[in-house]
Amino acid sequence: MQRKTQFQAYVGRKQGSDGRYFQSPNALVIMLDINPSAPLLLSLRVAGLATFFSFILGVGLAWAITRRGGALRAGMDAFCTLPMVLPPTVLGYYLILLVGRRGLIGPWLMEYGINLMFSWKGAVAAATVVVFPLIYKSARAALDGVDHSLEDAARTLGASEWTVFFRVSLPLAWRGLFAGTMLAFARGMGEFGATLMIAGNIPGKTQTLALAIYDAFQAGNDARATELVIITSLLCMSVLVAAELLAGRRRSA
Amino acid sequence: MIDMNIRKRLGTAANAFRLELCLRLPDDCRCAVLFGPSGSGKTLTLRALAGLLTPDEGHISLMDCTLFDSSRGLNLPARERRIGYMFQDFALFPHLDVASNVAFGLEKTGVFRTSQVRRKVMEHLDFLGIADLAARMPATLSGGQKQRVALARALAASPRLLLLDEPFSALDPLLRGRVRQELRGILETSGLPALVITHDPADVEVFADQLAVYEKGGVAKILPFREEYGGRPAASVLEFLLGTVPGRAGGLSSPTISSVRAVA
Repeated sequence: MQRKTQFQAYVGRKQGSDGRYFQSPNALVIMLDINPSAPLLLSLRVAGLATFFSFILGVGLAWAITRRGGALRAGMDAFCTLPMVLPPTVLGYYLILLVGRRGLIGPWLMEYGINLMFSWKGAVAAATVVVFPLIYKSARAALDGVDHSLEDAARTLGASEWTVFFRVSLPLAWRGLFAGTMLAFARGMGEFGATLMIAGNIPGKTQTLALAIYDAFQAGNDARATELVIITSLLCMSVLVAAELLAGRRRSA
Repeated sequence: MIDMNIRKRLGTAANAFRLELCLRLPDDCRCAVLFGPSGSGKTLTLRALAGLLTPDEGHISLMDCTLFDSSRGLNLPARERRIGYMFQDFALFPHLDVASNVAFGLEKTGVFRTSQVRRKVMEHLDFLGIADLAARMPATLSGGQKQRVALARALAASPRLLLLDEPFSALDPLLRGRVRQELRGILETSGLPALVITHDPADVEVFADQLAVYEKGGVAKILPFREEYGGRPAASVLEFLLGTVPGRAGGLSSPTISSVRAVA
């Protein structure tokens, strides 16, 4: 069964509703396949969710840290930047130690029916850790750039810290946060190392675009590799261009 | 009105200094001026009063209400102090129009319904004569207009006390004289007690019922200014003020200083 799925992914075949295989006309159709596990859709889903989780985590942490000084701030900054410089394989290894079947919180997660190892959820976890520094760093810079006296003014007007964040800091830091988020999404699309470590490379299940490219190349299927490379490049380019255009429009508005 | 006695360590570990601030203003004081050189702790006084800066120790009370007391571990957050603060650069929210800026503090006063908010905002804008600016963004306003919006925004939150940090330093010198008189009029009309920081002796003359003179290190001397020196021409006020700054001619031996009541 495993071999069959792998074969399907290589040659771009798909099982019809009648149970017979038929050949899809070209790579784009495979990519945009209704099958939610197709590499492109899986990559979009993984990158999207990872960006979402990182955004909540990164912006929240940046907000908590940004008005504090001293050792805590420096320590958190260093720690949060670590995933950027560590090899993705090292991150993957740490993640396995954490959420693996015999890991620190793995058994606890299993009790709730969440198994991250060799599942697309694991790919999300891996990508979340990898894109986190991009969001954290840009959020720190963007929130630091907000004039403190505006936040103080809001406080003297009776605003809670929550209100200060959502009505003053967030709207004013929005452009920087948005740029960081788009960058994180594009980076998440291309995540390879940590994903391979924790989620493996199971076609139709955890095989994202980046993994599918490596797989196709290894198997000597250069045509498919080229197609996937072009699709990935175009996608990442358009995300970045779209981010630039949107940010530019905000600037001129 | 105000009774504060606080200590705060400032600066980096290598270059630390201790600021000790005592300020006691009588209950009948409507408007007090904080005057003194930069770095003497004037802005710090306002920030501590507003709850934007937490002193290391001491106590602050305003009209028999304790805002901060280190011995009892009490520190009322800024949002619950109801103290209006007008920043030196006015600190208008650049992403909100004038009406939204003024409406920002209204929710805390229990005004929620859109029509009600709108009416209240227009009342405050009318009071300051800037109703026509309601839909403008702060970046398109002149300095004088910004100041009025900042004042309207502070007043809309119905504060018990208004703090003004160098209210005229961001204004065109030609405008200052007129705006100064207007602001004094507005404060009198609204009946709101105010604390004004300034470097300008002309401000002292217009605003000071009480004058708190700061020296380096932050010790405040309180002078019942209005009673004894009110109505004097600016030149003599300047002379008087320079006389209170240590190291200048006159110094503490000047006869006008004999009535100084040092509070420490």
